[in-house]
Amino acid sequence: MSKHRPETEDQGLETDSSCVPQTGIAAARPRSLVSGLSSLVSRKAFTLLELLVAAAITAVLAGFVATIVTNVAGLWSRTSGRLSTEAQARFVLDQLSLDLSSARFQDDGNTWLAASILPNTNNATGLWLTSGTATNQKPPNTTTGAGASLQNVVTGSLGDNSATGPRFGIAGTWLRFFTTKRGSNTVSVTSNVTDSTTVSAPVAVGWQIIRRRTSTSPLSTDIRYLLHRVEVRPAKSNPTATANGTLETGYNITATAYAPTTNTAAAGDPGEIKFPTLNSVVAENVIDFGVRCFVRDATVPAGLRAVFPLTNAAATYSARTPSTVTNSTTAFPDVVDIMVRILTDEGARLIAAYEANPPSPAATALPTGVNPQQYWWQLALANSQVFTRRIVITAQPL
Amino acid sequence: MDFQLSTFNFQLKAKRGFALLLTVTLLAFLVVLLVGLAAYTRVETAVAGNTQRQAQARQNALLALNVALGQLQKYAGPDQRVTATADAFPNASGTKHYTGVWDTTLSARTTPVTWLVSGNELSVAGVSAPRAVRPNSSFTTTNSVELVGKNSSGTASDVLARLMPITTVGLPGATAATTAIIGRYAWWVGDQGVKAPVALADPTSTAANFNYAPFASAELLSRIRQQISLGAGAADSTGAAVFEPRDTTGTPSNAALAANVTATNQLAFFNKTGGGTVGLPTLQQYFHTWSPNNFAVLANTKLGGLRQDLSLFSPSTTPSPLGTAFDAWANYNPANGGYMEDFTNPATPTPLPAYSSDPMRRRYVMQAQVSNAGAVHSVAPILSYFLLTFSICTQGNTATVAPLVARARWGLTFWNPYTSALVPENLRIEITGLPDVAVLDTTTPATLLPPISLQTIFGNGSGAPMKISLPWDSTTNATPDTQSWLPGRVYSWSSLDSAVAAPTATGFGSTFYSQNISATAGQGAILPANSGPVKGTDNCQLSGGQSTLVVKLFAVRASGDVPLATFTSPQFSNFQFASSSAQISDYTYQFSFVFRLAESDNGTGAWLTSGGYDVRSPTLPAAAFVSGPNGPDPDQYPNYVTFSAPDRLLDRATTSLTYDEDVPVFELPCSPLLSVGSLQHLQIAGTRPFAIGNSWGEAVQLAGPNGTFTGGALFDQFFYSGLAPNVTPVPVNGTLVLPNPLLKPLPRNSATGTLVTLGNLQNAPNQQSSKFLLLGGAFNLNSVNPTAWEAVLRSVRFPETPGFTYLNADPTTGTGPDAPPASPPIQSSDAQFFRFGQSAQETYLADINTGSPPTWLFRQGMRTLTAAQVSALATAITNLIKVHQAVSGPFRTLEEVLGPVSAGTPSLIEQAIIDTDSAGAGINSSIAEFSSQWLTQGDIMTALAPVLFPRSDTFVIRTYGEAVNPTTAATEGRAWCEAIAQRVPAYFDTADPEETAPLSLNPTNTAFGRRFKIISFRWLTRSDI
Repeated sequence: MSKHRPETEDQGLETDSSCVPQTGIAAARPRSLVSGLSSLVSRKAFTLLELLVAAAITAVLAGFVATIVTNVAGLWSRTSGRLSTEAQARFVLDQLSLDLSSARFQDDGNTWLAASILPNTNNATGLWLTSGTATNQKPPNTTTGAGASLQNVVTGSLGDNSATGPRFGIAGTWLRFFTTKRGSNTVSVTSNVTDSTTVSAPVAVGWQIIRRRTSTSPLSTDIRYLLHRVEVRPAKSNPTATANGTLETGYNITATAYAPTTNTAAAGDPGEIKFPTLNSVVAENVIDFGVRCFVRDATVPAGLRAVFPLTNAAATYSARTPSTVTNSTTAFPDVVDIMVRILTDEGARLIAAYEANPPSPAATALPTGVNPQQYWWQLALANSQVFTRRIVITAQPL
Repeated sequence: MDFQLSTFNFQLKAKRGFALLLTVTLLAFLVVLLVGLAAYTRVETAVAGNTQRQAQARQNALLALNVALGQLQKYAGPDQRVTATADAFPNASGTKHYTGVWDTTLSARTTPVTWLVSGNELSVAGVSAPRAVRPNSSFTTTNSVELVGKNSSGTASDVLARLMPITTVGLPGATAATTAIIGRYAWWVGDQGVKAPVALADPTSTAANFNYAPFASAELLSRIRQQISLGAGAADSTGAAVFEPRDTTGTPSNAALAANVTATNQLAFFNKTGGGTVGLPTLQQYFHTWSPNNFAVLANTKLGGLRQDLSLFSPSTTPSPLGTAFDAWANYNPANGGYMEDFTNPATPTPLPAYSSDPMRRRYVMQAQVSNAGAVHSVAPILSYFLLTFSICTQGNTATVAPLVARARWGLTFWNPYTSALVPENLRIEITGLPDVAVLDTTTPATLLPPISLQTIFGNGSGAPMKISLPWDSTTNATPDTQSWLPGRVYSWSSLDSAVAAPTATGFGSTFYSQNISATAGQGAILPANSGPVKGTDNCQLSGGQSTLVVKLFAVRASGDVPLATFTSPQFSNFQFASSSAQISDYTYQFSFVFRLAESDNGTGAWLTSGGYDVRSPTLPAAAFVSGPNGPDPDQYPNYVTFSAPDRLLDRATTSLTYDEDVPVFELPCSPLLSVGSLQHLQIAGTRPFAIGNSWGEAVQLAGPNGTFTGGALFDQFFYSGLAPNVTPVPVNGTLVLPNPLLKPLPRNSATGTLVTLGNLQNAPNQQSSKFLLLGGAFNLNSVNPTAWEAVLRSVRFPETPGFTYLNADPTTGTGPDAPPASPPIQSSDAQFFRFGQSAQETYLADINTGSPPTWLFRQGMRTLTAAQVSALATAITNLIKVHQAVSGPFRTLEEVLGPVSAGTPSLIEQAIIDTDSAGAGINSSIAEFSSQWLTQGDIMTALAPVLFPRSDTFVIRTYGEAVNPTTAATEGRAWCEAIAQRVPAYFDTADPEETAPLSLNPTNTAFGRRFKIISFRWLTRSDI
């Protein structure tokens, strides 16, 4: 390579002698050197106008590039955020559709489906974390106005993403009922023993939002709004196991076994309906989860009569009578509308920062006339999406 | 310098490319960003598209579900339909579990109105139209889909259903008229009713679930468990138990799990007999055999409409349509004027030990005959042995001429044929038909003396009936068994030791509890013969003509004697002492009239097998009796004192307190009846016993609400809830458990939406409480699955050795222990059938011996079949059902099942028992006919009548939907779902109340019948198929 370089270089001089510094034999000639330097100096100099034009062009180009990059980044952010939330919503709504369309009911006095709008943060579980700046977290129901977390759930449209759209309490709706698990029906090839947790059989499921750490590690500082789907195992894993499943516990979803007072539940235990473990998280950044239940009633407009929620107040709905019972407030639903509000990734970051201590932005930087809780909702509304689905329940009680 | 210039040159060159490089880099970054975003978007779009196609597939599956439900409603909704699977019909691979529906208003035929599978929904309506899809249709992989496969039943392609296209027009890029396939669906309706319901909880297992009179004790509650099926018992192909849902061991026990089972797959969690859990492989193996439970509407498949609840009829307020005799028989309860003794006011002698509050150990008051509408009711002891012996002589052995006297002595036994005790009463009999006796004094010269009319002599001198008093003396022999007329027991009377010359008002006296008629002199009655005189040393020859005695039995009561029964003796032949005359002064009883009740080995007199009469008949014909051992000639019994015949069933040593010779045969109701099969103990006029439920009951004509009913038709028209008057179930945890605990009250009154109350049931219009009820544990008798039949035949079973007590003459307890209970001991896999469903405890124990007569066979009110016998019987039954279905289609009514296959032949189950015996299973071989060990169809129906139906009302629907790309025709989404559809009493159009008769229905309900509801639904995965 070094052997040929002089040739290449030569060729280079010959090719563009007017603008390339000359070396070698040519440099030995004084006239040529001066002439060359002079030429060089003259070419390196720019006029002011040239500089200004160049600077302007550069600025314009930089501006274009910056704009494009910003827009693309924004598009990326919004699109990925949307896709991310849609993916989560799709999973959540699909799973809920499968669960609810397979819901089981019997008219035996037991509560087969219950829904509670949780006005408080903890559902008496103690799992809801309030660490951070207290005033900057999801507003309590007692706050009136746009910051309220429970409003308009009766008349508002579930698809309403406005500031007055439906909200279902701080912790959304705690929904639990019985359905049939879609199992893999796994049987050990070697032992021919059935894995009872995989059998497609009736199970109790519970859905609720909890603001908690995303890891069980005490060092974890990542606190999110997590949507849980708890599925109680169909039955004991084996005859000698101590942990009961749905079959052993029975079909009263409001029974103590499904709503114990203390948190001792492991994954798959009946008590997990109330005290979900992190194993049961199905989506994160879900800041609201709403359920509305209807029964078919030809005497009302649209043929659907709401049975839950019936007031703006927090309420627990216990479905234990057939939908054919006139004006029953405990009727099994024929149709269920479900709603989830999911933060985008950016929204989750903003909400997390706002709820942190110290918060960002600080209280002093909030827009005039907006209190911290209203600002929480402003952030949430601007960085979240609402997804809804109507689910028809197929089975009826005898 | 050169170096510097060179360096300078180089730097200048680099700086000149920087902007370009930067620009290119930025552009590349942007491109990468955009490409990445596009890819991300595309992936997400693809995911969303997949989700959409999956949703479309699910919608197609739901479409199929709706189509299936519509077809099910249309064809199986009306009452007059029956269902069966295609197993017994020509079928191809993957079709034998198709469900066919037959119309019972049409003649018997093999062609159903439809097969409930996809492809037939588009067939032309009409019963004679060919179905597009039949069991012998063949499928390819492209036109069918597997709905039951290896993961369901362990067999690949177990059920195939035809794929039906879903088309549309007007797709973009296609002409408007072009039809494109955008999806496909398939469905199959499986008959759950042909599967054995093997996971029923037993609410009678604990008083916590069931505690009200008359079942308010553990003992009485337990007796429900032996009267009727409480759910099938899962068995394998050999009849051995697989798991026992009533097993209370383990934590949780199967009994606890059974209370919570709502889905088939939960059976996998039951504790298996022998350890471990049932598991999915076993469950798959029995996919077509087991179901957790099946419910049936209590409807009549023959006439349509709901069945009537016989428990709700009361003689005083609402007489039953079956007549007053039936009502009298069924009305046992003293609180309602029934014939069972009021335990608070027992008659004398009072029972020993005294009555407890146990109403099943009551006594019954003897009842006069009531005959009405084909049924007969009477409660009376039956003449089992008759000996009346006469002597014509002079008084004193002297040569002095003296008038003749006629002497008589007798021995009589009467038998309580019931499994319950009777209230002892003084009885008397009246005898007519005594012959005239000619007396020829053969001493030269021979002289014919005036004839002697025995009837006149002993008939109070006027030819009236000869009366003999049969007092019940409980003081002379104050043994426990003289305090009550014990079940199945024979009691004896003999003529008084001291002869009397004149009867009392109730007749000549007798000694109770005595078999002594061998007193040397003076026993019985002695009256002037109105003949003679003659020397006592003369030889005389006596002769008489043919005679037939008629013996009438009366209960002696202060209010007037009550006729109980009339017994006609066999005809006695002429008698004559032609060659062996003796001195007339001898105290010789020259001739006797001896006869006894015929038993099963007495040819045409076998009243339990082929005779055309019932031994309880108030007018028992001569054919029911046989002459004594020496024949019908009275002169063959000179000085005859034999009172007993140890080789006979109806015989016992007078003073023996042993139960070993008790022979109970019939049961009187002593608690609310729960099964129409229990009517086998109802006496039917003119036919042999146990008519209802057996093939000969088909000749019975009982009055009914709409005409007459054969014995078998009763099973189609009626049922028993047990809600007899004064039975008031108390809800436990809000649930009303009826005496027949398989009856599930519907939660709601369909008309009002209010909770169904006990009052609703008791006051149901036309006694059709069935409008508020479903029957759990139902089984479609058209099932041809032998393993399912095995499980159903095991419906009455005792997983542990039953701790029966039995009636004994123990003055302290009245009962004896149960040792041994049976030999060999009852096994958990055994099946029990009770002839005496309500009273087996009082008769159960029998000391096993092989001697003759086999009386112990009669006292074992429960017949146990071993696993092998159950298996053999189930196989025989299903073989016969298959034959019937192949020739005539499925059975359309219970009447058809219970009646003879053709005139004079056995019915299906009877033939199955015969076939089983022929195959060496030994069900009835070596067993005295019609002992309670002789298994009959009636015994089987006592247990199974409440749960057997010729149709199913519970069905499983499996459907499939797929999304198809109309351009590529590729399948891009698949979904399966499964639903359980249950028929309920409410009509499809609730404008007609449930009790509406078929002919009064509106057109909608005439077409669609009773409503089907989807009571459970689930989405399936591939691993479920």
